[in-house]
Amino acid sequence: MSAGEGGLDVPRAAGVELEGVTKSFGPNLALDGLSLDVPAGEFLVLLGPSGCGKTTVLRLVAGLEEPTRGVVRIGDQVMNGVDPKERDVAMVFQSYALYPHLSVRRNIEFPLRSRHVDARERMRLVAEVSSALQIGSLLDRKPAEISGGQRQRVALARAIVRRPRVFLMDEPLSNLDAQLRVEMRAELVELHQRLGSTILYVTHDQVEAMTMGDRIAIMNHGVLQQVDTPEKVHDRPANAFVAGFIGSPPMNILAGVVEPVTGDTAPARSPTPADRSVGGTDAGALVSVGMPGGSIPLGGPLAEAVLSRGLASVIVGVRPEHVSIDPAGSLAASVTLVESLGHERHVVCRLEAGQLVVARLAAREAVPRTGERVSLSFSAEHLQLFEPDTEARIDV
Amino acid sequence: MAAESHPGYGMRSHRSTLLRRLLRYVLLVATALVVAFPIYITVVNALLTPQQIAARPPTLFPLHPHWGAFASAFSTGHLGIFLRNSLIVTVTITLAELVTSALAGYAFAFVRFPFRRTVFFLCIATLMIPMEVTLVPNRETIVALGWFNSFPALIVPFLASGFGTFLFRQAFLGMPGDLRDAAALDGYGHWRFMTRVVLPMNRPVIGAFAVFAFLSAWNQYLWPLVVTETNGVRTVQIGLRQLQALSIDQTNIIFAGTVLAALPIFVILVVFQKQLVRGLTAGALKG
Amino acid sequence: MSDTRRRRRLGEAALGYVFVLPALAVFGVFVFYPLVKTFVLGFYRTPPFPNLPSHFVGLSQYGSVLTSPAFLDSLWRTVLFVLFTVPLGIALGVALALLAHQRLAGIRIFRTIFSSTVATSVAVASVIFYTLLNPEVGLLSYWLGGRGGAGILQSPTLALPAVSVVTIWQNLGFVFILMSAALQSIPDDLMDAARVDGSSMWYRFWHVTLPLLSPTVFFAVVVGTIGSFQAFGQIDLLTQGGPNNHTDVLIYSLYQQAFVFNNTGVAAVMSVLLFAILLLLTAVQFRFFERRVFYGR
Repeated sequence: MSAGEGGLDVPRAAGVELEGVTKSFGPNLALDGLSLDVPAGEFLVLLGPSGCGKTTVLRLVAGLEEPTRGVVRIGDQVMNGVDPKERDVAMVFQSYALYPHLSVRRNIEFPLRSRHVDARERMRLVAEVSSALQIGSLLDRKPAEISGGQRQRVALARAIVRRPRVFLMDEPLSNLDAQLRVEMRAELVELHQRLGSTILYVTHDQVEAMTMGDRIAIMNHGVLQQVDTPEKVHDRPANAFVAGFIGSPPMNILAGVVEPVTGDTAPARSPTPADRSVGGTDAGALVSVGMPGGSIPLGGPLAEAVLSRGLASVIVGVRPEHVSIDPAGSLAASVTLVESLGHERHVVCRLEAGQLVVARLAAREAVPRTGERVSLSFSAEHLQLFEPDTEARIDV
Repeated sequence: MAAESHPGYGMRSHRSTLLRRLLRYVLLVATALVVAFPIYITVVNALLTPQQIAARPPTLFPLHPHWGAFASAFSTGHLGIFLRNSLIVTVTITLAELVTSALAGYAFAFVRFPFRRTVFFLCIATLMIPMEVTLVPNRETIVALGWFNSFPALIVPFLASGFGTFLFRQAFLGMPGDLRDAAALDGYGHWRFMTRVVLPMNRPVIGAFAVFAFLSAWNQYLWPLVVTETNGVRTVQIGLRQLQALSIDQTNIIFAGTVLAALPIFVILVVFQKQLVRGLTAGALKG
Repeated sequence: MSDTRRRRRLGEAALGYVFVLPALAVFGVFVFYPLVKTFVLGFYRTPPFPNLPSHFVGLSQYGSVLTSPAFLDSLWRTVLFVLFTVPLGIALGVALALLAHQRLAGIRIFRTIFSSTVATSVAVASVIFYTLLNPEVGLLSYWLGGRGGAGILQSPTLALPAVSVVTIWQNLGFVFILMSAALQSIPDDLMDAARVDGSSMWYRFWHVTLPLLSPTVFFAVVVGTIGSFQAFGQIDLLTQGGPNNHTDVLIYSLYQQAFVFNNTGVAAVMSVLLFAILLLLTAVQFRFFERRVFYGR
C-alpha cells in the first residue's frame, strides 16, 4: 500500500470539502447545511462551544458517520458511502483511544498491520516516527504504563506513521496539563510545517485556535459562523456570536438605540462635555447610539451604513482593550470589580441597566476603586456594529 | 459536475446501508426466534389441550386459549403450596443475607478488631466450598437438629453469604475516605455512620446483591431435594420435579406449572433489570 | 486517659465481633464443620446394612474409590460435559452480545429476549426440554424425526449432548448479559480508532474486541466450568444419569451414593475430590481477580 511510500517529509496532502452537509441524529440536528472548503496542506481549526457540531464534522470526514444530506469530498473524490478504511485519513482522539492490550509499538503499527504492510517496512516506519516524536524508548511499554503526555505522542505517532492524506484531531491536547499543552501546541505547528499535511483540528479553546490555525472555522448550533484567518476573525468578526466568542476577556456586547442627529439638536442624554466623545466631534456625528448610562455619538461611514439600512437599533461590540476610563467619556458606570493579572488589569464596570462592560488597562495605568463612579469611552475606529435581528456584522 | 454525481452516490450508499440494516434485522429476528422458542412454546402449550399438544402438525398459535391448565397446576400440581414455600424461603434468605453481609462487610471495612484479616479470609474461603461438597454431613446436621423436612432446613444454612460479605466490603472500602472522618466530626458512631451514610450510599450494590441472592435462593435444587420429603415444605423447583412425572395426557399442566414457576423471576427480570445485570456481572467486573 | 482509650478499643473490637458473628456462626456450622467432617467420613467404610457400626479404614477407601472404573467413568463424563457446555456456551454468548451491540431501532427488545433465559431455573429449563423431547408428544422430537422411536434422552450417544444443549440454553442469558456488559465497557473511541486505522470488521474482532473481552471470557470459563462441575438438576430431571450411566456425572453419582445407596463413605470421598477440583478452579479465578484489580489501578 501507499503507506510505505517516501519518508516523513514527503507531503502527500489532500483537500477536504464539505458541501451543504446536514447531519441529524433522530430529532437532533447536529449540522445544518454546512459548506467548508479546506485546501490541501491547510491547518484548519474548528472552534465552537461544546455540542456545536465540530466533532461531527470530523466524524463525517473520517466516515464514522454518514451525512443525512450533502457531500463530503477528500481530494476531489466523493466520500459518501466510502468505508473509513478506504478514506486514507487518520484521527487523533481526545481520549487518545490507544489499544490498552497492545504495546506502544503495536499501537503505532496497528494501521500498518491492518493494511498488511510487511514487517521490515513496519520496523522502518515505526523507528522513523518514534524518533521524530521522541518516544523510541517507550515502544515496549503498555499505554497504562506511560504518562498522559507520552500517550498523546503515541496517539500522534499512530496517526502520522502511515502518512494519511488528512489528519483529523479531536481536542487532542485537552487532557494535558497547562504547561504541556503549550509545548505540544508549538510542536504540532512545527509538525504541520514539516509534514505539509492537511489538518482538521477541533477545539473549544480559542487560544489553541488562534495560535495554531491557518484559518479558524467557528461553529455554533451546527451552523458555520465564520471561516477566516485568526486576525480577521478577531478584528472583523462576522457576527455577534463570533465577536463574543473570540478574545479574552471577550468582546463587550451591548444593545443600542439609534437616534439620528439632526442639525444643532444635541443627543437627548448626551453627557458633557460632548465635544471629545467617541465618534469624533459632535459636529461630525450623524447618529447617536443610546445605551443605559448615556449615548455614543457616531459619525463617518459606519454611521452612514446604519442610516442607509434604516436601523432603529443595533448591537454594539467593543473589545475591552478599546474601552477606556475617561472623565470625558459619554457612558456613566460604576466599578464592580478590578482583576489584576500582573501585566494588565481588567476593570469590570456596570452600566445603569445592569449590563457589565469590561475595560482592559495596562498595569501602569491608574485604576479606579471598586464602587467608584466612572465614565467610559469607546475607541471609535474599533467599534463593531451588528444587525439587531440577524446579528450579522454591519460592514462599511 | 460534482453536484450531478452527488445524488447518485447518495442514493447508492443509502440503499446499501438500508440493505445492510435489513440483513441485520433478519439475523436478529432469526436468532431471537431460536433463543426464545422454548419459552414461547411453553406458554403456548400451557394454553392448549393435551390433544392439541399431541396433534401434528403442531399448533404454534393458541387461537382459542384454554386457561384450565393453570387451575389444574394449582389443584393437581399443588403449585400454590410450592410457590408459597419458595417465597417464604427465598424472601427470608434474601433479607437475612442482606443483613448479615452488610454487618460483616461493614465490620471488615470500618471496625478495627483483632484477627480481622484472618476472619475475613475465612469468609472468603467459603466461596470455595459449595454446598455440593458438604452435602452429606450437612444433611446429618439437619437431621440431628431435628430440622429434617422443615423450613429451617431450607433457610438456616443460607443465612449468610461469603459473596455478599466480600462484595459489600469492597464497595464500602471504595467510598471516599473523607466520609468516615466527616461523620466522626459530626459525632457519628459506627451504628449511625453505617445506617445513615454507608448503607444509603451503597444502595446500588445492595440492590444488585438482593436480586442476585433472590435468584440464587429461588433456583436452588439439590439441597431442597435432599432435606425435604413432603409437599408442605417443598419448594417450587422440587415441585416441578413432581409435575414432570405427570402422565402424557396432562402435558398442558406441566407447561402451565413451568410458566408459574418461572413467572416470579420473569417479573423480577423486567422490574429490576438494571439491578439484575449489575448483580450478575458483579463478580466479573468488580475486583 | 489510656484507660478510656483501651476501653474504647475493646468496645470497638466487641462491636466488630458482634457484626461478624452471625456470618461466622453460619459458616462454622454449615461450611467449615461439614468440610472437616467430609474428610473424616472418607476414612470410614459404611456398613452394608444400616445401624451397624462403620469402621475406620484410613486412606484405603480414598484409594479404592479414586481408582474404581465407575468413578473414573463418571469423572470422564463430567469432563466431557464441561467441554460440551463451556466453550460453546461462551461462544454463543459472545456472538449474541455482538449481534445485540448495534445502534438499531428496537435493539432493546432483542437484548431482553437474549437475556430472557436468566429467568429460567435449571428445573424450569429441564422440565421444558424434557417435555419437548418426549418421544411420544414432544415437539422437538417430532421435528427431529424421532416420533415414536427411541427418544434423544434415551440414546446413549445423544443423551449427554442433549443435556449439554439444555444447560447451554439455560446459561445463555447469563453469558449474554456478562458479555454485553463487557462489550459496552469498551470505549467507542477504540472501535472508531480501529476503523479509521483501516482495519476490517474481522481484523477488529480478533485484534481489538476479543482481546479486550478476554478477561470477561476467562471469568466466564472459570465460572462456567465450576457451574458445570456442580450440574445436578438437569441430570436428575432429564436422564437420572441414564441411559446406562451415560450421563452419570460426578455430582449425580455422589448424590446416588449418598442418598440412594446410603454409602456415605464413598460419597464423602467423591465430595473431597469434587472439592479439590473446585478449589483449584476457584484459586485460578482468585489469582485472576488479583491481577485484574492490579491492572485496573
